Amino acid sequence: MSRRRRLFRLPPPRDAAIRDEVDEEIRFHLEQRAARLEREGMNPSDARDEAERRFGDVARISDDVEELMRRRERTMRNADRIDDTRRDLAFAIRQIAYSPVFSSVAVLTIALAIGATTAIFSVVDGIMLRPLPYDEPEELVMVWMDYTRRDVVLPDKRREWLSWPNFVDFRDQVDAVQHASAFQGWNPTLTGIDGGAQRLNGGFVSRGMFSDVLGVEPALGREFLPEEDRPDAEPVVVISDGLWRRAFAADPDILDRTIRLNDVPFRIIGVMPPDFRPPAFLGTDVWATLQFEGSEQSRGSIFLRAVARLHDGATPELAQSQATQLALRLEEAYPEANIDTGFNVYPLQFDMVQQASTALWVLLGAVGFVLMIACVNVANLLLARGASRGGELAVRTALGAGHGRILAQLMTESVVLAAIGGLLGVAIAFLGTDLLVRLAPAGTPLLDQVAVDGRILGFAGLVTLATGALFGILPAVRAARTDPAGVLREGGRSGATAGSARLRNALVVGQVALALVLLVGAGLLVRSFQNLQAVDLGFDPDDVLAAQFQLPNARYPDAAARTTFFGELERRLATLPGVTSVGSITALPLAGADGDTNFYVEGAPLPERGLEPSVWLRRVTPGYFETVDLEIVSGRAFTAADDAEATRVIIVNETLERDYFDGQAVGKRLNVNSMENPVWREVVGVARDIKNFGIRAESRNAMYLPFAQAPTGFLFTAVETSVEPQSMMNAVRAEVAELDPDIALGQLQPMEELVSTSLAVDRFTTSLLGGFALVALLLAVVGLYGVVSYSVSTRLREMGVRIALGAPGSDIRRLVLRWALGLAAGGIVIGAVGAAAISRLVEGLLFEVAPTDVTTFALVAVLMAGAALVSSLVPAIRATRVDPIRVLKAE
Amino acid sequence: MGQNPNLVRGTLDLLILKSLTWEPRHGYGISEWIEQVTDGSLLMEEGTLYPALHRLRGKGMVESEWGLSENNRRAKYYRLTPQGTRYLEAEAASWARYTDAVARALAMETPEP
Repeated sequence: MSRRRRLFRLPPPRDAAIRDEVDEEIRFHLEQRAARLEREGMNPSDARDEAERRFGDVARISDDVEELMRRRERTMRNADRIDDTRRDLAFAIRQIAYSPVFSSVAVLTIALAIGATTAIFSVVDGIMLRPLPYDEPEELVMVWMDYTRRDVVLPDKRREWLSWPNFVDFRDQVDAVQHASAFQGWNPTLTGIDGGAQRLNGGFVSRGMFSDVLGVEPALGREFLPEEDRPDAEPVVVISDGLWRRAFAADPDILDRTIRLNDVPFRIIGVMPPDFRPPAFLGTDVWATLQFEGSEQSRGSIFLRAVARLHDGATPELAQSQATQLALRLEEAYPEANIDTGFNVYPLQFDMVQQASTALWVLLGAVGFVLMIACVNVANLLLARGASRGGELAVRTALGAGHGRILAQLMTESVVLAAIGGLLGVAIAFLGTDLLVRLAPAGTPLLDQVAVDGRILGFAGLVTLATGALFGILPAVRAARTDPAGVLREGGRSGATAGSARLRNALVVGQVALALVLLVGAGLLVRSFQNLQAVDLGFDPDDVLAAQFQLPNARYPDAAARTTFFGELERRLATLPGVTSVGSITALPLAGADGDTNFYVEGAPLPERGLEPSVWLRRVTPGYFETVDLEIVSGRAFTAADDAEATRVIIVNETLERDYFDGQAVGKRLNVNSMENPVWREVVGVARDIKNFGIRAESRNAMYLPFAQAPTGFLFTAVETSVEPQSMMNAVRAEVAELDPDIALGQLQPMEELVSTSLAVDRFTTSLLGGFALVALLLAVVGLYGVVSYSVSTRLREMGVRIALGAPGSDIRRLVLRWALGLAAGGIVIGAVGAAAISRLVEGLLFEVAPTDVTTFALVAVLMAGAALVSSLVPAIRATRVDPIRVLKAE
Repeated sequence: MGQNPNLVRGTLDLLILKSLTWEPRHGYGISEWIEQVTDGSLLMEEGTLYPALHRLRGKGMVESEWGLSENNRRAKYYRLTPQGTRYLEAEAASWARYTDAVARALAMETPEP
């Protein structure tokens, strides 16, 4: 064994080396002893035996000694390793301190990338990965009606509301459901407390919402009793800890106190605990019982949403399939209301975040790209530096440092760089997360769960390590592999082998490609956003201020009181200086729903029951059309003469006129009541189609009724001003307070904000992705600049020779530029192919732009090529300024 | 068998260290020295010397190095480290106190001193 090893000059393995050593030591002892015994007169063979006898058990003793030696080896090796690491760390820190410019560029790049990645991840984590703050949140589901098979006008046919009878059937007949609770939004005005009327945010809930479904008990008092949801029961409320502190100074004797909500007395029976975070759809302040006695007639009126808790072990899929079975039975039993409908059961968290999820994943992906580009940049910096440190490394190798040691030393430097960047990055992540939460569009779900905590720091740590490894490994392997003899022969000036130049080029090409993918993504979103902004809304929200009113039924019980209030309100507002017109509507465009209703055209064949055409109906005061510049394309607008006593009139939109009146609606009549008790209304005008349901939505049927002929207690009043609408806010508030101090203004905002709010998600995503793309572009350009400059500096001699041989500056310039643009072109082509392959991922975010939009791809490619040109121009010009005599003399 | 049962634990270590106070020795040299100075009465099995030597090496009391023996053979030589010297001095002193005390006790002829 050992002979063969010697024969082949194999390095002896450590264990075998130890055995040899012990053998030799013991053999020496035995031979010496035998020799001595021989000298004393023993014959050789007896002497050998006697020596062994005196020694004892040779095999056992060698084993013991070997074990002792091995143990010593191990301790020494570990000590060496710790020593090495400590030395590498010290050396790394010295190296980093030696080249402050290189180090700060690298550290800053890494810090920004890690900071941005961590910040975005903390948002993704808070919204999508962290479980909801309820017991067993995976058992919670949201229940919707599915109307996708029905030809009706509804905003989201997969997520439509339920009627009471359908809810009850779902609750009682789907076996997977343990508890279910229906709810309805409620924004009552709280009066009779210090500090004036307050508009609250809450809901009506059917029994069991808190303890059974969400699994939260009130901290004070109790939840609703089953009998409290009967219509004749005493009105009681449960309030939030926040409202308790805000409005009632955390009064410990609050229970059984009566408060006035919308001028109706409610007795407080419970206060929720401070850590209860109601799902956004339940509001934040106050909850009362859904007092409702369902009858079969109400199966078609959909005004409820519902949450359910499934049985332990039941999946949403199981609940969905049982609900689908139920829907088939209901369709059969109640075809009028339930024909072509179904249930949709979605996990609660999925339901709450699904709108946001595409955007968030896209952003996380984008920031990951930025991180990769940053890594490539730092790797390229390290490669260039590794080349200039070739001499140092060659000397170390020549002096006996193994590849492993060199690799370890270089990796230590990278990881230290990354760690410094990571620490800085965490600081950036704190700021960034804060900023993201503040800038996030209103209504972004679960934003309150977003926080930088241990989870996130762990993520940042992992990213930092991965980053260090990622940008460090290539340069380190490359440097450790450098042939020391070659470098030293060249005088230690350069270690720039053809291989490392190729590697740097490949990295730059990759970087350009990654940046191009991001730019394409951002470009598509920008184009989409432009399209969204260019959409003709059909009305003009500029210089319009809108206020929301909810009259308490108790004090404004009838049509007359309501008409009088709003008449007086409009009259007073119209006299304010700066106001040019005033008008009101039951639901502002782009801002939520009023209600849909069936309609019947006079003289048309009666549609089958359950399949009547539906329409979103709004009530307006005469000034509304003028106030928001909504054009009446034919016929007339409403006037003050269209009052409760006058002929019933109606205005329809262009879509409805085209689809139901063959383009000629004025003078025709239609009915929006039931056909048992029709009220025929004469179409007096046709209004332009406007974007009622959102900028992306198709135009749908719409109708306008004169408010005076169907007054409600709920209205938005819009004021068109000749001055900045913001400046009129206080005046409007003052007028309202003077008219009725107990009316809380729900919302008072410039109407432009409705438009910008409805674009908020798009704006947020577009600007973030745009920002990332610009950073990526910048990093790629810097990377390209670095590689081109470096390459020019290593080719000075060649340039000098060319110039000496008479090459004009333009040739030299062209040479450098052609090479640089070649790299960029490679990156652009690869990036474009990559972008085409993955741009489908943003399709859900796009509006009227194809994910493979040729214009966008072309513009982005041109932008990238231009940036590449600019970045390589400086080194190209420097190349032409090479002084051939100096360069050649220096050799 | 092993060591002489009368050999107190740790005595062999002290003898090894003592044998190295004048010069580095190889294992065989140490065993010869011990044999000479103790009239062969202590070390019954010469082999036990080696685990003891290596244990001392692991504790940093001795260092080893390959060298050439008197008759030009490769042999591993052991040398006292400063730590080993200090240890030997301390242990030798306490050994002397101990044996003195035992000797005095055994030399008593009356029950009271």
